Amino acid sequence: MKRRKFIRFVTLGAVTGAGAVATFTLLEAFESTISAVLKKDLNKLNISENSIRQYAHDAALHNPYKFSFAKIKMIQLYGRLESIGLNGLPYFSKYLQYRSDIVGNFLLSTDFFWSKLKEGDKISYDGNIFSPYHYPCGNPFSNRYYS
Amino acid sequence: MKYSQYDLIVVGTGFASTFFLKKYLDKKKDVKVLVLERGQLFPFQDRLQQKKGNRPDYDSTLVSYNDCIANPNNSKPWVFDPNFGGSSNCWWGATLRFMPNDFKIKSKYGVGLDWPIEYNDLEDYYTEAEEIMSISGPEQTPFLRSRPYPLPSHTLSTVDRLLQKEYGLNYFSQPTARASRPVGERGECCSSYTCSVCPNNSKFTIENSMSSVYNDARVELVMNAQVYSLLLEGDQVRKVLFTKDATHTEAEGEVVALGANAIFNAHVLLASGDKNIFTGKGLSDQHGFYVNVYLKNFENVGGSSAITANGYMLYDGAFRSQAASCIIESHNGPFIRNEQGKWRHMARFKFVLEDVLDDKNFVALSNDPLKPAITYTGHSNYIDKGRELVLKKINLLFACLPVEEIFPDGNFQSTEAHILSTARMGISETDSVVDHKQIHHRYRNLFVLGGSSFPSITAANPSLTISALSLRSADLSF
Repeated sequence: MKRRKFIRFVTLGAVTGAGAVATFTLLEAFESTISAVLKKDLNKLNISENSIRQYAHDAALHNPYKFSFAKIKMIQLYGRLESIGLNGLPYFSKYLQYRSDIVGNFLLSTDFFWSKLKEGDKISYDGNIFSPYHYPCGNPFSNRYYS
Repeated sequence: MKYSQYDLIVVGTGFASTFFLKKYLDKKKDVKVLVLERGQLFPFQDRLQQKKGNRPDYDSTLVSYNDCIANPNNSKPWVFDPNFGGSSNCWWGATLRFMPNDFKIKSKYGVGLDWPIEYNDLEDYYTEAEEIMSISGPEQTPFLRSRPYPLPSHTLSTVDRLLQKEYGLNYFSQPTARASRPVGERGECCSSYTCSVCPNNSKFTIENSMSSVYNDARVELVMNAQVYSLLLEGDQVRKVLFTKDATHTEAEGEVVALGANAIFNAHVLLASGDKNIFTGKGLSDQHGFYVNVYLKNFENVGGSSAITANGYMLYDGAFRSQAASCIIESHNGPFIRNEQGKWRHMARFKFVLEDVLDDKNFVALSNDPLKPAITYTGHSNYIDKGRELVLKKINLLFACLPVEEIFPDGNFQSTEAHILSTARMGISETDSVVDHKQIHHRYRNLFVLGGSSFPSITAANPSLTISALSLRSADLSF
């Protein structure tokens, strides 16, 4: 292998490797964020650690909320700031909305609304993230579920 | 192409073109029609699969709306579907009629522009368009109708019922092309809240309800054919110039109907050398913002369809001389309030405001003959005044609900996806581009159909009015 070709090969490998590490790090950070949001906001519901972990893993991979990179970063940053008592920042209501999106999608991905479970009942995530295209007609607040 | 000369050449296959062509075919027997569609057929089933993550094998040939225009303003997208059926593929199916005063806001309120027609001129055609689309709607609406809606209305939610009790006729189940019962190829709307591609194929689209127009033996449909100019001679259009498979082609038409959206209709006119001073000017869209209402021990449930109701409490009145008209939409997605035990103790409304035409917002030619250039400097102060009025009245507006707190969004949504008013309708070429039949004032065999002809845009969704106008234009002209 010629020297130039070798350098190109090594550079390409390094860039690909760095990209993979960056993606993995981002996914891992997103997963931790989702997990932290769910644990905090749903601490009074009966959800197994495993359900939250599995959902966070799946959701970080598929991003059902369609959050941009900037939004994910914002949730992480505001989450940290909130934990030290800073909660009057600009766009704080947006941050709360994004949290709601995470919690809402999680609950829709479990049997909580579908089975009309009570707050103390055991809630399970069966590995299928909620999406209207995989659960058509799946609006648990509509006339199909309430008459 | 089968022929070099046609009785009618239609540009586009969306609402404006299809309703026009339907009426034309109803009235004319032995005719040759050429339809030129810039995009391709992207069938519903493939769209559905794409939403599920399975891209079709022709995915690389699908073009995004953003690639079709030169739009330097990233904060203001102009959304449309550049394929067969146009925006019927991606609309949400709201089919509000305009109110009588919408047609005369200049003479009534001293703002905007009057239409050269009145509500009553359009009433029959509204009814006909509603029949064709099998609209679901309530018995009573703020706008008068001569016939009931074809399908029963959608069900109001618990919150809607309180609002209807308070506001009567001004708060009603949304008339919609999201079918409340299965009809034809369409399923029943089941509140999936993802109408841009309905998982149940419930909303009306050209593909699921009016494909027969294009299967008619008199009609020749050519896909991937983008019209970029017209050959104008005297007061007539002689030829339509278009690209087909990267080749420049032309066809001769006795009558030509531009039925593309307001960006492309204007672009074709400008590229053809149309000297009307209003062509391309006044590019408009409505502006909407969401409001979340937290409720005290009250569940918002039981509604059917994506948007259950409309509120017309701020639609019309003397305030329109200062501030924009507004429709209220009651949204019915599976959203939640992130608080233990109060998951559905909330309602979400969208307030959508009209704008007035501003010539600083316009379509022009660009260096690329196939790409219109957009200049959009922003919405008018009229909209800001409308928003101020909403926020001033919002507590009073929802006083009949057990309100805990109200959270209006700080910003407008970037788009309502309604592209309007670049070839406005009026009395003569001193005030407009087209006449009341949407015929160009100068080129008398040229129809310029669709949202481009709106001289005022109102707060209501435009697709039903676009369809009704097309039916009227063809009915009065052939």
